[in-house]
Amino acid sequence: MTKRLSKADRSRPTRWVGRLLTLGPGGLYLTLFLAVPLAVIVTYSFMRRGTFGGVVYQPTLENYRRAVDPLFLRILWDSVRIGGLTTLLALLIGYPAAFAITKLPTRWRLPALVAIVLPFWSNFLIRTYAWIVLLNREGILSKALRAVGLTDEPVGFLYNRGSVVVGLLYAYLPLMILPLYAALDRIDPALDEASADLGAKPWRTFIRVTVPLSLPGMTAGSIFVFVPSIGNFVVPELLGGGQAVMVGNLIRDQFLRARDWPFGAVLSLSIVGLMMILLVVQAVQLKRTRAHA
Amino acid sequence: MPELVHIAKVTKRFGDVTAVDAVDLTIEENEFFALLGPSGCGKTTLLRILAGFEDPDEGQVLLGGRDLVGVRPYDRPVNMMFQSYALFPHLTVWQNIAYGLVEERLPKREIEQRVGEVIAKVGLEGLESRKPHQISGGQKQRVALARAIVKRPRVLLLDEPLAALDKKIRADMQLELKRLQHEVGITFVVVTHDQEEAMSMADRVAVMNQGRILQVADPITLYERPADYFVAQFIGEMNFIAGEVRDGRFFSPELEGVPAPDADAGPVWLALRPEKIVLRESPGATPVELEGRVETTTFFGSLTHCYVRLPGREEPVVVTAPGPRTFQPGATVWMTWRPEDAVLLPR
Repeated sequence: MTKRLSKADRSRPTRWVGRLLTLGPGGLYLTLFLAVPLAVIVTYSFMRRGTFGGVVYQPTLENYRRAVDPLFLRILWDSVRIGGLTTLLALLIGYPAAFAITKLPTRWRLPALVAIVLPFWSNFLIRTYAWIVLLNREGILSKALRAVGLTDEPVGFLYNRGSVVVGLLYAYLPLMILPLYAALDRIDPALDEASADLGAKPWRTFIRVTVPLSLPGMTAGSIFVFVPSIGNFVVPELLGGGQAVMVGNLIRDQFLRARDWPFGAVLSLSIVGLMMILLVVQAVQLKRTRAHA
Repeated sequence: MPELVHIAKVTKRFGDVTAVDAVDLTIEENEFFALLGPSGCGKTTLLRILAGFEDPDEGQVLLGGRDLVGVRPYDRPVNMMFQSYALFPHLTVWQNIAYGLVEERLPKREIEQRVGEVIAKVGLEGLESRKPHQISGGQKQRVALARAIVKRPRVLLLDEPLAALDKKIRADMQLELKRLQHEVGITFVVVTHDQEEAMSMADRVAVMNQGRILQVADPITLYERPADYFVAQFIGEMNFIAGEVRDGRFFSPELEGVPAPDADAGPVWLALRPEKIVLRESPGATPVELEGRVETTTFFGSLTHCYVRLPGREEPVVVTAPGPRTFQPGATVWMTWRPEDAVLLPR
């Protein structure tokens, strides 16, 4: 806050009360559930683990040294690839969907958007189990393939990277569609007409006007899908079996199984760091495009 | 001048509303043509039909003899300047202007040359690398104009081109548009609800109301000889006296038998421009004379408005006279005019 502002504030104590009432709850929430836990994690990451779990308060860089181990880096890289593939597929599927919704008559747009978020109203675990029912060796897909005679043997689709990507994609696709829709919906329809008027066929207008102007939505959606995807440990556990270990599983194991909290803290911070980089990239891009909105 | 655009029996309906109703119109080569009317009169729909954004339900639109109905906007040799300008916010001024030429796949050198020329013509030098949000309203308008004329269209359509500008810039831009139209030699079709704008810029004006064209004429004819009550009251100020024509004379409660040699018998409006009326302080020996009482006068510097109350008439008659005129409110005056200055309109 600038000096000028704080001077003005002192003369008006009521303004402070108002600020406290409006910003207080949010600020308290952020402090309790973000700042404090993050501080704890950062502190743990520099400590030693106790012999029987827990944290011994002796400063060390040992955990960070362990984190650059190729084994861990490979898992992190795998997670990034699975998250990246999920994000890419979500973009490819979500963009046409969001685009189509903006072209619907106004009264059909809200129902369409509600349909997109409808799966969120059921439990995440139950939805993921449903995929097991669909994809396992005696599952619906396998039976259907046998029924139409494409195969004689039961086919399992579970417990590989593909099934993890399918699960993550299913879980997070709405998070791609919603920001894309918001960005596409904001584009002035007169711009499409202006482009056509200047001689651009519809696909040229799409490339030269629609895509660049929906870039903020694409970035936001991609971050919304990518970030929870690489940190997710339920989907790789249920749909990936032991075959696909992601960084989320590793962190969970460090905290709950190996009881190595300091190392788990370092792994967590690696994801936080990755997220921060992405958010900075998005913020820079948003600042560039917001100016002309 | 040869005919360039021919609109024949064009009708466009939106649901129950007939936005454009069996319109016939001819626009000539190199003409500055205005479509004038109140909002909702169908003028913008007609413009959008010319641009190709709407297809007419009936009728033909010919451009240089070629039927345009069904030709997509991007295939028409017609460009439009949008009311909101519709500049591409992510592109610079230069890129906005070059947009249509890039779509034509012209060689890079030609694009650069033509964009450079048009930037000089509309006075946007030095702003080439700015984004639309970094320039003023007047400059945006120039970019929108440049973007359209750089395509060298057969017809340039302008949808309320000055509506978004400040009053002062608007007057400058009126002159500028007229100058540009002469310079580039493109047919301009401008849509406006502002009669002064249409009258001051256009070679010919079509007055529209409720989807129909009421009169097409040059501004002077439109002002002096309106063909319709709506046109007469829409353009400029007009006094109307309701009456009837019998045996070549006009009768009304106020007037007894003004000569009206060419008028058909029946109920009519006698329409009279305020500046055609002469006020006298004493009765004269003129064939047409009305006695009234001055209600108020308003002095505007170059002219004075007098509001004269006539017996048995609700609305005062407006009379304008050049320079200051001093009539005391309540003074008795006699109004007179040359019979040929009055216009008789069917009622």
